Amino acid sequence: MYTDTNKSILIVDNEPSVLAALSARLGGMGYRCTTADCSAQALSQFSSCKTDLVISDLNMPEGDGAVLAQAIRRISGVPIIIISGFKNAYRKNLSNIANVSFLHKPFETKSLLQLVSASLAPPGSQGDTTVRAA
Amino acid sequence: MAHKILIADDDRDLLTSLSVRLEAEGFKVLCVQDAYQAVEQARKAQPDVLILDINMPAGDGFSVQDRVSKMTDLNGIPVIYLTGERSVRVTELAKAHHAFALIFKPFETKDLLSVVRAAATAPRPVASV
Repeated sequence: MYTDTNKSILIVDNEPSVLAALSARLGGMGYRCTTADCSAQALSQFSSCKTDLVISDLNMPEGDGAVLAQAIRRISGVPIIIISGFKNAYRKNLSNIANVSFLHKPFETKSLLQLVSASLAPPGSQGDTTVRAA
Repeated sequence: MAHKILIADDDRDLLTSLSVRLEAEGFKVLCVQDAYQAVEQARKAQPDVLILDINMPAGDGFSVQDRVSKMTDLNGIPVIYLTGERSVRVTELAKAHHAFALIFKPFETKDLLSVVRAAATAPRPVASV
């Protein structure tokens, strides 16, 4: 599995337990994780910090993940993983946007790790190369 | 072999955060969102520990334990109940069902993890014949 500790992941969810669990797990893998609990905070962090991947919830009280994904896509091509229990909302609002994947809550950790790895892998590596920063 | 934990709760965020945490600890985790699926998944997967929300669709957590306890291989399986309802009724029902633990929401994940670790390694009572 491709793991590059130089990669930064922005995790967005209004549920603190999800933010804590994902940042602990991905941080434990060596990724540098930052978190935001709403779209506005996420956009602010995205603009000010280098981000290689965004993982975002879809339904959040203060601006949903679809709006966030569309705003990010206007300024960047970084991969976005939407995590939600509502696949229809994803299909309706996001499935036509390039480089956006969907993971249905609840998910197995290995599915998340595989998707993260594939999203961050350099083109052509198919996410199967292990790269560890010194 | 990894202990298998079946979690039944209609809160997808809780299922997501708990399964990520438990899998990081080496547990195999199965998640379902209602009482009917909980009984069916318990029958199929033969988990080592049940984590049951008390109020969920298609029957409460206690009804799940009642049905699962009738399955020979799952008799005496440790059950951890999760609930936001702090009431004498719930506490008495949990005691009557010999729950391994009753945990009130919101809870600290580390507290639940230590209860799950204890439940997974607890000796099972010998089933009466």
